[in-house]
Amino acid sequence: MITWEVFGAWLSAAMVVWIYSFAYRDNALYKLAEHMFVGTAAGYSIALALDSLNRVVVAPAVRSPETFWAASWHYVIPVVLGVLMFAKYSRKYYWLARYAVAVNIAVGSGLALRTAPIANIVRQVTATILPLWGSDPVKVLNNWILVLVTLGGLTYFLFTIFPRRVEGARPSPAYWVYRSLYYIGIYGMMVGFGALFANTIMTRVGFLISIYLIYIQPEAWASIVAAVLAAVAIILGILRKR
Amino acid sequence: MSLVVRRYAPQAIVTIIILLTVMFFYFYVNPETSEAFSRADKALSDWVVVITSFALIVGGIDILRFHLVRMRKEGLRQAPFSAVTISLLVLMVLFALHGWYLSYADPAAGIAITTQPQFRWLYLNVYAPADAAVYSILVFYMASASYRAFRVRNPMALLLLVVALIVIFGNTTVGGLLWPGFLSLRDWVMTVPNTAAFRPITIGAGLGIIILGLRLLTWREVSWMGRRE
Repeated sequence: MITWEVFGAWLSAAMVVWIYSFAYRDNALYKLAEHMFVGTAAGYSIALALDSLNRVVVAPAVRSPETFWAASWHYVIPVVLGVLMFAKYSRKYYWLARYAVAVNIAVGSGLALRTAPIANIVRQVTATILPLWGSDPVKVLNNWILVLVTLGGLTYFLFTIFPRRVEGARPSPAYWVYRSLYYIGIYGMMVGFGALFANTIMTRVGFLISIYLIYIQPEAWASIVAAVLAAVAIILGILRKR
Repeated sequence: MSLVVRRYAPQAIVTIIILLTVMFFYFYVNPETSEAFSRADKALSDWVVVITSFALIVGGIDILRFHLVRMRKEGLRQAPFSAVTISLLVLMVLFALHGWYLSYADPAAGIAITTQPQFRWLYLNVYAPADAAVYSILVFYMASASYRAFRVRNPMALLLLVVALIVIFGNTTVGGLLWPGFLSLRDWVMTVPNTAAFRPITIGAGLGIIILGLRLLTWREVSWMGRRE
């Protein structure tokens, strides 16, 4: 018997096949899955928004109104500001939405300005101040790599005024220092990007494997249906090309 | 309305809030001020949650409007697909509202907005698999990107290839079977050169955040206000 649970399993398997069919060519089933995804994603985000509103404002106001109006009355202000966001649909009063955006931008920037100088700059600089001489050669080598690659990356990214080389004259020491750090920075970043690239591939392949696990299930019919759907998607793709 | 209300007042709000949040974080006055600041700070964070919730609802309505316009402009070719998007969006919201209603009407049932049965069914059988599939389909494109990236044309590309292979072999069991040293080599790559490579990027991002904050404070950053007068 086909229960909602079984139908759901079939639908989820079909969604995956329809979306993967795009790897071959754009087709109607992919488009259907794409639109289903957009619809549910938008609905889900609205539901999450309602849930947040409920937790922060509505539930406290309904369940214990005395406490809410005594201590948390100010939550009315963001609610009013939030409602003002709908003014963006008006040609005349669109500017009212700016007040809500202003509060969000300001709080976000304020929080970032509080953490960025310490976490992004001071801690990174202090972590780079390392001993470059010592008894442990491996540690010393690692410290040299850390310091030189960091300085090289900073040279590449931030100190973008390259010392000029006069034609015919010998380059200055500053030129060679800058050039060396510049290339150390580039090669260091290649190492970083290689590691990042590898990690990204691993993550995506992990998702791919987890998706394939959907098909390893007792209901063999689901796999057959998925295979048929994949074939239909490919045929639709070929027909669309013609 | 005058420019003061339309432009300068929102910009003044940005400046005042940024100044207050940063100043009271760094400058200690006395315990009472510090406590009041902590309370105000927490309240402001909750304000952002509330306003962001409304922004998400506005975003959902924008998608609805977008598809309604597409249906009207593009006709039968697009209409069925847009109808699917609109109906699923509306259904999800209706189920969520039903869950919200039940959370107050029948609290003993333990049903809330995100645990409403039909809402969960749509989430588990449509949204979740589609989300994972969309995320993982990129692996096919990464395969072609890998081919292009891993062609050794210069020493930098060679370095990228070698490091990527070390990390991939270090992360997989087959790498350990081929040569046990892959694991320790991967650990070294991740802790030493990789950390050093991303440190300047982190510092640059920090400087960028500070510059953006200063631009907001001095009213030079106005893109957040949307359309210009």
